[in-house]
Amino acid sequence: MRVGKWDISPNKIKYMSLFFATEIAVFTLLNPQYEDLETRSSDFEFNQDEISTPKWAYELGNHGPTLLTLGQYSYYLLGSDQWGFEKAFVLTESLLAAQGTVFTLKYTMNSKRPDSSNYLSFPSGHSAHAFTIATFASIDILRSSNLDNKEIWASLPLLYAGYIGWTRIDAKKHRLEDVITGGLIGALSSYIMYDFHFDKSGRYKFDSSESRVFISPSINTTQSQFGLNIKVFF
Amino acid sequence: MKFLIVFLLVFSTFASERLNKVFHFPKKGELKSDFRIQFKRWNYEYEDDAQTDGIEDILEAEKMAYTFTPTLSYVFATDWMLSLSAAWQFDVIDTHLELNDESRDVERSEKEALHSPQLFIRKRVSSEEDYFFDIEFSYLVKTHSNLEPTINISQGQMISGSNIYSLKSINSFKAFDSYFKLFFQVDYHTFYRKRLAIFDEIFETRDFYGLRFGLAYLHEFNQNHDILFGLEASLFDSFQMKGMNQSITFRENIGRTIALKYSYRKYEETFGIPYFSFNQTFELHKFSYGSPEKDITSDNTFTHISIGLERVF
Repeated sequence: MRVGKWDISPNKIKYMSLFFATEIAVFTLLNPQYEDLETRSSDFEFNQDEISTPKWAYELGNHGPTLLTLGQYSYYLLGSDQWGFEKAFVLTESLLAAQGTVFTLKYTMNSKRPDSSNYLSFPSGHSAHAFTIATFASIDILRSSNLDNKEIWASLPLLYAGYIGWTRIDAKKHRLEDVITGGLIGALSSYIMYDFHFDKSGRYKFDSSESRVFISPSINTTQSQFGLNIKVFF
Repeated sequence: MKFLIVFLLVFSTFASERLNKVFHFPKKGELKSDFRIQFKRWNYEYEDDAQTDGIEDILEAEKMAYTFTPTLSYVFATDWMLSLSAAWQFDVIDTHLELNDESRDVERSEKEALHSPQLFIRKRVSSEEDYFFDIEFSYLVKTHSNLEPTINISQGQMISGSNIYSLKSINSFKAFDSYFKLFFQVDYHTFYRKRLAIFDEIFETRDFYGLRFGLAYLHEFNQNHDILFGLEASLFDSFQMKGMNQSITFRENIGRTIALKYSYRKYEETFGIPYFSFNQTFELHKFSYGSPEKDITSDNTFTHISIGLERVF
């Protein structure tokens, strides 16, 4: 049962998110120089001769995960969704779970990028990020919106995430398998998290402000007593 | 209803106990012992990056040995565990060098003594029936894995090695009826001394760090049999080592480990938990030295095959 505003997820999920957040933060702060590469570039740099789209179209993909993130958080935190805060919180946990998994796999697999810029090709972080947000948004649209043709609306974020993945291949930053694996990690993370916290109508499952009945057993082994606690919230 | 309640309580207690047992955090006042015998193989391959294709490694050094590693852990307060560990190399099976494809055995001159003592303090920060989150601090005085025979000395010699302070976070949870473990570790070397097989001198450095992180999945065949599969990545910041005559700069330092551990838990309460484990680590170092500068790639493989027994008293 929820006891405070921030008490949205079970401790198991909170600590997993905390673990991944710490891992990513420590790594980012220390930023070890562990690779010796002739060409070194950031994840966002690209060779304009390699891409087959106009630069602005590529940048839409390159910075797509950031745009999706900003859009989704703005919608939840500034919009009118009754469960916007809870959804933003769970979305953050989904992102940490997906990025943490991708992060661990990247350094474990140590796969060289097609453009030889480093050894972090598998799986694609851009794709995981994009599909985490897109899947979360799509499920949310399908379950909680009153829009006409919501299947079409729900497919738009996924199409955009697919485009982001394609731009990574086009710029020789990733191979197809990197993008597919990254996308699957992101999509699974969001699906599991959303489904765990929200019901078929997109309503937060564990809120105590709604009328609910909780039944919990109790036992006292020293006095051989058994009990049943019933709590009703109106 | 009464039976249902009892069943639910017993089941939830069982789930909690199970997670604890799987990843071994005893109760307050309990002592845990872990004795293992390991077959270890170290293999170092040095390649000159400037050589053209077809030229073999400039040097390959290999050693195989048996070690005995005892670890004792005591839970001195609720959720606080203190552990001490050391290793005893009791037999060197083989040590040899391969220089330009000419193989030559190396005289063994290593002390048989307890070495590489390590101290751990582990705190369980939070736990419920289906997860735990631990922080572990450890201090290791590594004295033995630097045993590289050199070309001229042709001996494996024990030298005092590195001092490593580590901070590790461990997160384990149950999901989809399976157990998972994630860990992340920062190693800080205050002192590091290493003999490299291709040089005739010992190199030293201070104050650099490395990161390790990985994940493990535990598959239970049934209550008595389980197998743990783990992956670990490690990387070190670039660093420079100085010897008497020259210095070398390590520019690339990465490693990967795969791990398997099978445990048999049927006699956990009486005899203990016998286990078998296999670890394989692949390391890649690139370093340069001399003037004009020469680039060397060191491609290393470490294999550990262990049998052991864990017991809680």
